[in-house]
Amino acid sequence: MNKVLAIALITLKEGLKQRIFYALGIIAVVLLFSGVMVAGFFMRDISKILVDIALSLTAFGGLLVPVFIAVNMLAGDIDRRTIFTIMAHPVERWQYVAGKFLGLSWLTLLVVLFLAGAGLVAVWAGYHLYGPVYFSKFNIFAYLIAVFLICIGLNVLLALSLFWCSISTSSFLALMLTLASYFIGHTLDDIVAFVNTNAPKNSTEELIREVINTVQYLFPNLSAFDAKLAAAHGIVMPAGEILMLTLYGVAYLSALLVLSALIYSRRDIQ
Amino acid sequence: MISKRLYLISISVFFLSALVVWSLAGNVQLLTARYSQDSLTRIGYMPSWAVKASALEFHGLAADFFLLNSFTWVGMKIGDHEDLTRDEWQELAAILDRITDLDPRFWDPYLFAEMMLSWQAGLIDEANRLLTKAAEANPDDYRPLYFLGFNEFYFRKDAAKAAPYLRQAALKPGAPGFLKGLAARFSLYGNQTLAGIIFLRGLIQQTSDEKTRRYLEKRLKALEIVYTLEKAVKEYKKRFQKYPKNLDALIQAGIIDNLPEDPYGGKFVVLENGRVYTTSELLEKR
Repeated sequence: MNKVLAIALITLKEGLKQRIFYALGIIAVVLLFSGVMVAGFFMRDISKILVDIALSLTAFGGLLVPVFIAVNMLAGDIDRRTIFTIMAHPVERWQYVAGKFLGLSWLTLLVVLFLAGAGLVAVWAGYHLYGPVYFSKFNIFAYLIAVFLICIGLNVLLALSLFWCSISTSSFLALMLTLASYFIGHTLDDIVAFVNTNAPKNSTEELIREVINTVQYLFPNLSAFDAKLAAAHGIVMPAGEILMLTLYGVAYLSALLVLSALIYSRRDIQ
Repeated sequence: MISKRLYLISISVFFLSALVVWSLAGNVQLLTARYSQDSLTRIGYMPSWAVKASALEFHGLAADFFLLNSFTWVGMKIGDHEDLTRDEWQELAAILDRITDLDPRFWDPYLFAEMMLSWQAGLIDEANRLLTKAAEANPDDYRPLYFLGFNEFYFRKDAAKAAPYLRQAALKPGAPGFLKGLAARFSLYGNQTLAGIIFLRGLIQQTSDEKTRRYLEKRLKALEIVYTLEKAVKEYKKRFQKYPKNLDALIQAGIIDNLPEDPYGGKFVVLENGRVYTTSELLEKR
């Protein structure tokens, strides 16, 4: 376990070296100023607008880790052969996978907490600028639940990017596959609803429907972790639903991590 | 080391490019404004599932963005004293429908629909359809039902249809006290103008945006003038047992001192049934 933690720590430090917090600092400042100003253009739902902006930027900033940093780091380890410096030590391949995931997961958490905190400052500034009457619906628990679910969703995506890195030979391919998974994960719900509300007119449409209905069980339903709208309207998700989503996310990412560890351990890294 | 000649060429190219960018920036902005309106109206024609899928996990933000664009589009037209065409109002209704598909609990698009589609465009069916959607998405909110009731009473002049909406609205948590019995009072007034004044005052209270506030206050001022004139006409009828032929008769009778100006630039006239009407129809003059 110590080896996993050591790799995780190295990964976290390596991630921080990419100076993402400079980029995040800019995002946070943009959020603070433009968000608070833009919210004033609306008539009534000022707190909703600010929470929308805060949580959307949190999710967007968080995406940087699984999509860009993780893929760059993992595929780069193989591309640039830096993986050998780790493998030269008595480290099992599964420990490498677990350590990398843990380190990147911590990095994701830091990014999300940083941006969500900046978002809260924006809400606080808006509250003082526009007055409490427009913030009656704001609920800090709903906000925190949304942030928690963003973290779970990003961790699932992180496990996916690890999985794609384990089977692909180039960082570009892994990046594209991770992006595709993200798009599928967030649009699948609407597409499934659409194909199931319209009766298929011919055999091709029937086939498409079957494929989409099967695909929905293979890809993670990332839109399920999107509680931003509920938070924007101050609606607190019931504990049972949060628990179910957490369980779904943890189970999905565990399965992916096991699969990635198996593929890495059988992979011929040269 | 770069040679002096290359250095001079580089500087010249830089300044020339900067000059081209600077001189074209305004035109480019006009071009994007034209196409952004096109892309905005296109949202209204897209099926709901496609709009939602395209917004990925940013449904709330996308809804905010489209609504802000709609404000800008309508605001620019009204600011230029140019009313939207019937088709453009229909497009706005469709855009607001998509925005509320993205975020059905978002109140501002419904408020905007009430202000613009009902008051400005006269598209009561479209406004009511959106308000019904609002009432379903926000079952604890009195405002959609109140607006629906108001539209039936004020625009459709159907007090019987308005009453159940207003009664339901009064039962919702946080409903203002005046809603109780408002249906009965509306019918009692027998005149839509006062109802309009009460409603607009409520709308202004709900608006934080200065521009929208000014737009509503102008309308409120016009309605208050109409109400004052209607009261004066009633007074004339009481004194002379007939309606005045024109508003000057009110001045001659000493009921009012002078004829107020219509903030919309129209002219107030008294109808045969004693109602006061303005030639501007409370619409921005072109």
